[in-house]
Amino acid sequence: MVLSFRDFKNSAITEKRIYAVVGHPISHSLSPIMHQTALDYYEIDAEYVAIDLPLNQLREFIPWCNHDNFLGCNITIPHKEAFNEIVDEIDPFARDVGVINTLVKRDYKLIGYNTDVYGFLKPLEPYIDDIEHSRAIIFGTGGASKAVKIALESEDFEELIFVSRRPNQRKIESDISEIRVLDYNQWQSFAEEADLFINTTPVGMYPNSEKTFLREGEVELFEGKICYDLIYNPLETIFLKQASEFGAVTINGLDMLIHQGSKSFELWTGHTFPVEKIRNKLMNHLQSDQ
Amino acid sequence: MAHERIEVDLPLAKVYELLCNPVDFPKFLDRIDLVEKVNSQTFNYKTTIGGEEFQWTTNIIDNLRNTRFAWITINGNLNQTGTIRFTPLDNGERTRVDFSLDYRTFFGEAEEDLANFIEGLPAQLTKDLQTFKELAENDTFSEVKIEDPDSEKTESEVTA
Repeated sequence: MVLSFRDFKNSAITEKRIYAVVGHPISHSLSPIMHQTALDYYEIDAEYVAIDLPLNQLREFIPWCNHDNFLGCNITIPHKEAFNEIVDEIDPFARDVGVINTLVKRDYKLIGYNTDVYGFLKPLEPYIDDIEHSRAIIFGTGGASKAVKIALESEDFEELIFVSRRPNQRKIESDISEIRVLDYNQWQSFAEEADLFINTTPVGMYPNSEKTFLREGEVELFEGKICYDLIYNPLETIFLKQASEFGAVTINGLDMLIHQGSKSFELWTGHTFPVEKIRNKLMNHLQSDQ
Repeated sequence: MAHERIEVDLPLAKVYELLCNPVDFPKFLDRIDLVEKVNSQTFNYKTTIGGEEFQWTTNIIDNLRNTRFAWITINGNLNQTGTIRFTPLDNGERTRVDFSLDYRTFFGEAEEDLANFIEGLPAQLTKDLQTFKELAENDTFSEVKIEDPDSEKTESEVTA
């Protein structure tokens, strides 16, 4: 259910216990499907709603979180960094990441957490022993790449190569890994020694599913590597499709989405998602949506 | 620690405005005699409990408009901490106030009068918040005068 902030103020919070995702725009969010499925699965008496909250209404929204019926929320674009200044406390790990995506209510206090890093790493678990301490190439230097950087540092990746359209304007530092920022004409020289390739850009996302940042011949560089796209719609981007055809192990963004959601849900309720049930529900939804 | 809740028939912004200035606390917190502003974040408090004078200095540690207001003691002979949370009701036309207040000594056990004061804090805070509600809803909050007990004492001593 998607509510405007006005609708939210008028009805939902006074009538029922709610969890929410707040962002703008928000109608595309899959969080309500995931979390409501989990709430129903565990027979938890609460509703999960999406609240369309433009940035200029954020300050007005916060007092509403003090309601007893407001149990917690997920935070998405454009609010992820803005909440840093608004919560009572920030979990130390979320402080390191610099981004909050989950608000937990504890003893009246609003505590900010980041579950994106956990969500990103979870699908890599089966492969991580083989690729840690190695080199990763990350396409994109926007907001999503921050969580990826922290995640890879936590797994002791020795070298992180960020690929940017404007590498000279991007300064990325690390005390743990060696960092390089290259442009789209340079990364190819570093591909052979890399084990992991990650797309954090929106290139290839629905409805522009036919787009890719890859140029002719570059896909061959992924042979035998792990290719990870944070995009979950479509489930297989051009990047993953081509990499798969050249023998790469591919991971789409759906599992990251599910696992970051599961971690949020666990912080709120103590339960993890019924993962398979939710994956099936999301895949059906995504397939019917196109 | 005392935690009391009250609903006030005034909009959120108005209630926040009335409660975010510690100088006004003696208007409704019966057991605080005087609060003086040192700067925008720091306030000196004064009260007498069982004939003993207590003075302490607080710093505002959290002040998010229309949402919450919190302070801690940084100096003095009584350690007070407080948090006020504001929740909009009825689409923001009414306001719920959650007021948490704690007193303790910095060192050792509280003496009898102070211990009794701390033990009676929840009941006192209930009364105090009722006073606040009446003053705020009757629009008489600004009319309440706060008198410095020391200036009274000095005056009576001079008169005598």
